[in-house]
Amino acid sequence: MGYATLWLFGFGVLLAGYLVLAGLDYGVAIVAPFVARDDGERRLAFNALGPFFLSNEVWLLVAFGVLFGTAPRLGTSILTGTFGMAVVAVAGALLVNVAVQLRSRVRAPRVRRTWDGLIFAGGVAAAFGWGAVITAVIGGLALGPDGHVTGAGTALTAFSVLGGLSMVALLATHGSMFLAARTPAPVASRARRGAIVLSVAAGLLLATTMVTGRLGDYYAGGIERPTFALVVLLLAVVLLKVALWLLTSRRYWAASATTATAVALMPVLLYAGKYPALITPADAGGVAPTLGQLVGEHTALAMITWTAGPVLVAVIAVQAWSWWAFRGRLDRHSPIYY
Amino acid sequence: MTVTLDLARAEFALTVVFHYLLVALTLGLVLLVAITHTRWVRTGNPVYQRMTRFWGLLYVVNYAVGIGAGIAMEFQLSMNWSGLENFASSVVGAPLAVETVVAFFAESTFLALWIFGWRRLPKKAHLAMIWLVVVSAYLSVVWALFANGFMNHPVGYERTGDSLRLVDVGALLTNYNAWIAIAHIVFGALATGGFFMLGVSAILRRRGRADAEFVRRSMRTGAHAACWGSILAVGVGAIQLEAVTKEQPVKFAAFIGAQDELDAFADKLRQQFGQVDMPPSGLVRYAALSMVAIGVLMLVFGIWSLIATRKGRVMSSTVLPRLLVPVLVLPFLANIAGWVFREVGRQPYAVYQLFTTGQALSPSATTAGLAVSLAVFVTLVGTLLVVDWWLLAKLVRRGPDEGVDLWAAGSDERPGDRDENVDVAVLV
Repeated sequence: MGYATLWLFGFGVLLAGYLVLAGLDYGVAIVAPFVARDDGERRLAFNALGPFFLSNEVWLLVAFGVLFGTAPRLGTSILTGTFGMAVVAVAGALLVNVAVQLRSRVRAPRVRRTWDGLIFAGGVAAAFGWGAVITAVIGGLALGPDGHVTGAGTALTAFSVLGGLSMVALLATHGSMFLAARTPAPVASRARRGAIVLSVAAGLLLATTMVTGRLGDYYAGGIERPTFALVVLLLAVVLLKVALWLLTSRRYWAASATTATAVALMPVLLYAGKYPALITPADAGGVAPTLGQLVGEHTALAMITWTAGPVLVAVIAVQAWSWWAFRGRLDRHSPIYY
Repeated sequence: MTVTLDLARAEFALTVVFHYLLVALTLGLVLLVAITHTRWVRTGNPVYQRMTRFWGLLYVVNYAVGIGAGIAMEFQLSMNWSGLENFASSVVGAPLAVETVVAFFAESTFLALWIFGWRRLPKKAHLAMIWLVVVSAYLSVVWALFANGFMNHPVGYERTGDSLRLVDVGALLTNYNAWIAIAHIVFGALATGGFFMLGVSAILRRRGRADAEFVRRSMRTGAHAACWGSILAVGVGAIQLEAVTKEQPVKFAAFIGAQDELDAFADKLRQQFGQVDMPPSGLVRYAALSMVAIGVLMLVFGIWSLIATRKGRVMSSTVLPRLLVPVLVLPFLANIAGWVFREVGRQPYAVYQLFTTGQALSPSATTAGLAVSLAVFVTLVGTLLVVDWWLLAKLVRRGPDEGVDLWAAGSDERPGDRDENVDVAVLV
């Protein structure tokens, strides 16, 4: 396997990691106003993310930074081909990242409520934006005869909007499951009740997106293996159901891990359905770029592999250790910063 | 086309300026925080612990907004400048990809462990976290400048068809243009952190927010950083100017205001690329001159501060502490002026003599799309920058001795057993 293939799948893994980990942040951001009712409870919710928040968020920069270096045209095609939705996603991610870190620096309740509003808006925008971007890429982009992106106007369809909404519901479920596992009583019990409603909503939205895509002919020739993609999607819906069962039998971390798997299946769906033609034209006349055109060249990929590769693995190991070290439910001895 | 190009240019220029105002302080301050933390672990003197917390809090707040601005920059490169990404990813995108992993990934992960590891980690392991943050922060300068150094002075590449191919990794990583800029930036950032510490300490002292010991030690640390940082930044800057005269004659012509040379160059470019925009030579010239002038002022104030704080004095001069508050703004201005000189002076090229900024623009970019993106990101990052400064001012006015009630009031299940909670989190 060459460097190019390694990093093409590497991006898939990093994207899945980003959606699972930062997805927790966005999920908590979306449900916080409903499950955490006063400032103290909000702090509990955000400090449940506490030691993980910064390391979750940075996966965004890493996933796309690595993509821009290793498969530049895949990166630019995704972002220019879905321009408006990508702006929404990036702006939302930016807002959540900064707002969570700054919300508790000032004591005035009015200021904190403003930050909380921004955190909610950012969480919704990030989840919706990335969901819509991924769905639009699955459906196909506006490409010219040379395989280059010609515009982003066609990316916004009922299909991509539904994909965005599905991601909002999916990440909200994911965030609720996490809060049920890591916060103390009042927040956790509301999160538990929320997770039940949200996971049903997420399952229904995913199914609706799929049916709409099928009936509306939104992914015309873009999906190489439609049956395989369908199986992955159904598996995600089944996992949501399993997570609910684990939640009601009070196995909170197992439930969290199950929704994490469901979230990670979204990039799997993209790759399994489309590979090797990851960027496909939405309309006749457009030509799909080949894999060779999407990726960088050998020397640059070798440099990235041997400088960034070992650090990437080592830092992921440190992050895994920190999850183990801070796995306990929050109590009065837990460190609080956000 | 030109309107679209100017919008994309304006968006990137503004984001990069906002970003660097944050980064210069982050880079300088994190090193001073790590040194202070080391002193606390070594001596056990509680004043160093209070210093670590106070300066650490200012650092972390500033860092938060810095990441936000960084996100806006990284994505702009691919959304608005896909021409450059597709043309030069091997030599520009690749070092930036390494930067995201060896710098940002490590930096955020270890910073999280520093913030939340205050009591959870053994003392020395906790100290190691902040030093790992320092190392990764400075690695980000190095790798970002490999990309930027290439754009200013291309080395180790080969042109194949419509893109550049990296042929000599060693040449890319030993690019003189990159390393001289790295040195200049690192010392400039150190001076920025030092002057910030001096200015803020002067405010703390004037308002009586911190005891003499806290102020004295902070001022001494700040004075060292400001003095040595300024001397080295100015020295390296002088050497760097010599490189510019050799490698980028147009930039130098703009600097000395040689209009004939600029006109001759514009003619040559028109023949090679058709219509291209020359850099606004006035902006390049005055940016460079103000950077040099501020550099001299920083030298004076840096040396003066180091002399005024020697032999355990808080500050022997009465005038200097008053001046240090406005002076803390100067390094920020010099940093920005320096970047304007370097990057605006590189125009009309994105990659020097190989690729114009017009070619770098995304072919699919539309005026409407860029207007929206500019409005969203410039407003967002600009507002957050102002909020950052407002928060820093608020935290400085509060001083180092307040703000240890870690569990917010109003949370019923957390009785205020403050003694037990005081050390739980690193900062509030």
